[in-house]
Amino acid sequence: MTSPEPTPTTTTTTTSSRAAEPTTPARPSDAANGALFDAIATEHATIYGYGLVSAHSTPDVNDLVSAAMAEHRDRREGAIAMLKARSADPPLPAAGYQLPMEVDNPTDAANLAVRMEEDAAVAWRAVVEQASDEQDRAFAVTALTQCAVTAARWSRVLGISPITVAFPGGSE
Amino acid sequence: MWHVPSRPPTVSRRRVLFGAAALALLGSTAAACASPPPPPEIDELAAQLDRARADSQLATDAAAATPPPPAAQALTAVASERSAHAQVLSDELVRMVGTNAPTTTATSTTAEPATAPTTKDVIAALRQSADSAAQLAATQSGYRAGLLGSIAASCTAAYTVALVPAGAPQ
Repeated sequence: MTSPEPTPTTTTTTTSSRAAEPTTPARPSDAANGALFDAIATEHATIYGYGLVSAHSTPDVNDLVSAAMAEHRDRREGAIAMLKARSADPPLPAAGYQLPMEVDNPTDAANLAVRMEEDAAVAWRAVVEQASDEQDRAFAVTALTQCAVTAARWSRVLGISPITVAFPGGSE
Repeated sequence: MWHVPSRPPTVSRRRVLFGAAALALLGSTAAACASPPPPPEIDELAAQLDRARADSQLATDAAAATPPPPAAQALTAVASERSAHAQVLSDELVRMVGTNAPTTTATSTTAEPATAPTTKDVIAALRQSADSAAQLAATQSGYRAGLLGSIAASCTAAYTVALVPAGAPQ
């Protein structure tokens, strides 16, 4: 899991990248908003991580890198708007993130990308489960699906077989 | 004057009890007889289970028709993923209805296809299954919504990536 580099002061359970210097808003206590907050934090981390993926990838995966990055940015903005619409403050991006692995070459980059898509899938599945209205749930299902598709694309780059999993974001 | 208004409640209460007893009796006999109309939630989930089983079978058949190796491998993977979905859906149904076996649809596979299914057929089936799981996920909540979301994601990844040859435009 990509975690915020300057260790956040609050103790977190899973994904969270409760940020660094500026006082980041606290995680909403409401379950639905809390899950959305966590997913946004994960998207912050993923977007940061894709910068590294981009730096270490070969040109033949440029399209994949840029498409994935654009998708995560769009989703983050969408999710932030959703949270703000409910008068909850979204998390801020951390100043830096500790990567779950060394990234020195294109294979590492693809591995990191798969890992980040998997982590994002977990975060969005939590939103699917906690969401209290249908629209949010549909948004989260789409997000979960897109993460699974992008993870499969990266797995194909890596030559992994099979390139898909039965329960993206789940532990079944 | 005192008796008149007090009577209807007693009667109606008895009637309610009677009605409830009759309903319970009816319900139990119906359950004992054959297929009582299941609540919509169970129906919808059972439909997902049928889809998962049918897709798994379809992918297995398509793989058996010996397409080129990468496709065969991908189809086999799809078959096992859909069968994993079926397993978890069936577990969930058992959990919902209690000890009863969830569905009696032993063979949901429609008429034997005249020709062996192709990857294209599997892609079409998965597209439908993904849409249907995603739609149902949005209307459910909690674990069930999450599970259906993962199933929709898995089906989508299979038909948009795994079953599409590497070089092909996606």
